[in-house]
Amino acid sequence: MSDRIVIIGAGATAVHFAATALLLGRKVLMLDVGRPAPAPALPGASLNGLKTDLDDPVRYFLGEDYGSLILPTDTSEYYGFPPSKNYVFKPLDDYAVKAKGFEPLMSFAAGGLAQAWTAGAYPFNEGELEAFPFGWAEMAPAYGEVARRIGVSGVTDDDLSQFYPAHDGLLPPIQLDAHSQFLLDDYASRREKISGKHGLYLGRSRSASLSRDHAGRKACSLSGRCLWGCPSQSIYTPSVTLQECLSHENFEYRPGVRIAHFTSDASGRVTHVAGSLIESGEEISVAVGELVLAAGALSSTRIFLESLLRAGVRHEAGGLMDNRQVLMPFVNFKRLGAAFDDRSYQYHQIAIGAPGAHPFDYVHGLVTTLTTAMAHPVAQSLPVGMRAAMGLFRNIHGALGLANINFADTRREENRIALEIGADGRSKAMLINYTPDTNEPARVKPMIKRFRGFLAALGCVAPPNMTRMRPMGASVHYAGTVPMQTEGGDFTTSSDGRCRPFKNLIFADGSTFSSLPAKNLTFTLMANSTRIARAALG
Amino acid sequence: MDDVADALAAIAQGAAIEGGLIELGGADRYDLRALYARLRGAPVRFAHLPLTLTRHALALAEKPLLPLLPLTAGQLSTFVNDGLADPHPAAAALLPSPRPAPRANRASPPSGPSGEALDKEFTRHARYVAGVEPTAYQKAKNRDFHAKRTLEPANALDALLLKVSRLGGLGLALADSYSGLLYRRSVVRAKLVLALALLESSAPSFAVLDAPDKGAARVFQHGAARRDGGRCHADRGAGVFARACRARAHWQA
Ligand SMILES: Cc1cc2nc3c(=O)[nH]c(=O)nc-3n(C[C@H](O)[C@H](O)[C@H](O)COP(=O)(O)OP(=O)(O)OC[C@H]3O[C@@H](n4cnc5c(N)ncnc54)[C@H](O)[C@@H]3O)c2cc1C
Repeated sequence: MSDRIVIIGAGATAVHFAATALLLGRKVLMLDVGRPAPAPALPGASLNGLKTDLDDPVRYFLGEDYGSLILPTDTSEYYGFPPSKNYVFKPLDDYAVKAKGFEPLMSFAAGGLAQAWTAGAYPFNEGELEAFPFGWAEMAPAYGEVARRIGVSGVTDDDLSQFYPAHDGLLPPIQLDAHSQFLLDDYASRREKISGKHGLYLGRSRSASLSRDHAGRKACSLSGRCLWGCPSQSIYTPSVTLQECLSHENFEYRPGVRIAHFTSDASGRVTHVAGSLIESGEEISVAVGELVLAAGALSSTRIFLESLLRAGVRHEAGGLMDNRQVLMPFVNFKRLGAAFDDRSYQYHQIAIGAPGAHPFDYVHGLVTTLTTAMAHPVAQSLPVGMRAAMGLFRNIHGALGLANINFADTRREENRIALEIGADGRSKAMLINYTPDTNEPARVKPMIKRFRGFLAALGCVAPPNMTRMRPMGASVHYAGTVPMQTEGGDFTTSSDGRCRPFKNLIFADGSTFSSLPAKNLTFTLMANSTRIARAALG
Repeated sequence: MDDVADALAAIAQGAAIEGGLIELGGADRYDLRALYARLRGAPVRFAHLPLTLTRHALALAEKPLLPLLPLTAGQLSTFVNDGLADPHPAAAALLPSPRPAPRANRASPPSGPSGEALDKEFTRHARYVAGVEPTAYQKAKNRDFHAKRTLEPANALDALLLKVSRLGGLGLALADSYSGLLYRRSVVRAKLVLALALLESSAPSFAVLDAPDKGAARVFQHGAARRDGGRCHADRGAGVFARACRARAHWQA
């Protein structure tokens, strides 16, 4: 029992830690809330095939209770999550969270949040890793290992390659949709002029989606179903790696378990994790050899704080980070009235890079062309009657795009996670407090202007009143509460994820990040947990 | 409505009337401003648009943009003329005591419209917003939605808009345009969005909602023309997009 590695969670970080530990010959028990995914509907059908062939297509697209229907009376974002992904975000009973300045999104699904991700897979470069206690040389093999496992598609010879380092295992890119191809061609014909003027660059995204068959999974068939859940697993999700782990004799997966805290002995060894069964509420306690917290930065931090509280230590974890995101919808005037092909890859295929004075200041824009997006959420946002809006939408559909602009974040102690303690001394809720740095407007506003100017140079108009700054927490790139530091004090981690002062407690998720570059973090989360597994267990 | 029904019933039962056109009017006379205020139950602030200018602008835009316009110049013109009933001796006999106009607190529709009423309303909305006939499946989903979630007016103005939308094609267009410009959370708009969502989620209507207009497609050709040495391929067609395309090609030359 004592050499057994117990991993909490089954998200992107947990499964890659597990896969690496199994490769190293270790025994792994994974404890997870683990809500299961529904089976994909008509796996061979295209998006429009679903509308034609399903018995109840409205139920599939809008939900049993029409929960994915967005009405003008709602106050949600432009898009609801499709019903097939509801299991990813279904909250946990009695999991109270009180947040200020932050809108947290958590997942208790087998596979975690990345069951619904958009698969952007970007390696951090040397400059972006500056605050981490290691550099590109230590990360490169881990990026390669993960890329070979999951399949990452992209190029290494365009204008964005200067920002995206090359790593092993890169597959060729997926076939571009017509609008993305149009934008890239247009840019290529005048790139020196456009990027010279605006200081921004356009190129291909990197994505964890298959352009050819890989490790038993099929290449993207351009079914147009990305948003609704890829039926062929061409888009990587952590459940793929979880499945692989399940075929290993040293691996045991126990879903339906909610872990609340761990207990340790006087020497600082974690001995048990404790929690309850979701179905019955029955309390459980499991002995551990090594404990790996990989339940997502927020949930892992909560388990950590709860454990300290029960040991008589009231701690608040500072340094919470998330990427500020700005959504900039645009219309490409050169494509007004263009037909569009619903049989195309739906997530971002091209990206915009905006370098700053230092590599860490790089701003990362993802461009999605919204081909199979539903019409009703967009049409109702237009300031005209619905008939006119729909007429307009049909004719601009093939010309629509959305730039999602991501900004870097740094650790600041005042951005904290704490526990609200009741009169009985027990925790009642997780408290999250976030305040953006005072310099944020000075960073964000001019960049919005630059992006708008860059898009205009490509013939695209981004109406200012439709550009929206998303609330903190909305990017779901959480990090920084138990950071990796070379010479850190208690409740920080070493570069191999081991948490001081404990002997056998490892953090494998975003809690360990020392800073948060603008690029989507999940590829680095997976690579880092792989690197940590090798460093801590190897 | 009830007054008209009473008069028709009287005629059907053989009330003596002499030929010609009989116009039926209600008990009260209102200008548009007073009618709004009465139905809303509170004073209403109006923003005035110059009628002549708006009518001419609409008339100009009608040709190329007719399918996109919520309102035509002809429809707008109806506001210039009053809608008062010309006195007729038979009218008094048919309608001895016309009912007064409803007050705001009576403006809200009866709650829970019947299944058939829902089908009718949905069909009107589907025709209006997408030019399609809904299928039996889509009608059933519309009923199902209303059984699970309520779409009721939030206030008197909302109720008035809903009422206006039920008056017919022009009423629906008016309520829709008003909602788009000034009241995007109206229940009429919500119902139209619902219709759209149901139509785009299922066959065969999704295909109609996916397709751009033929005229507009010429702009794409124009876009393609840029890559083709600036040549405009839209050498036919009177649509605004085709004309713009040719003008630009001419200007470039
Ligand atoms: C819509 C969307 C799009 C995204 N797109 C991208 C993208 O394109 N690129 C990118 O890099 N990132 C993207 N992300 C972010 C990405 O999904 C996350 O960074 C990533 O999933 C985090 O993985 P994780 O393992 O740290 O935690 P999570 O995914 O949160 O997994 C947590 C796991 O822990 C389990 N768990 C939690 N608490 C407990 C508990 N108390 N007891 C037992 N088990 C527990 C859960 O069941 C789950 O299995 C996206 C996210 C969303 C929501």
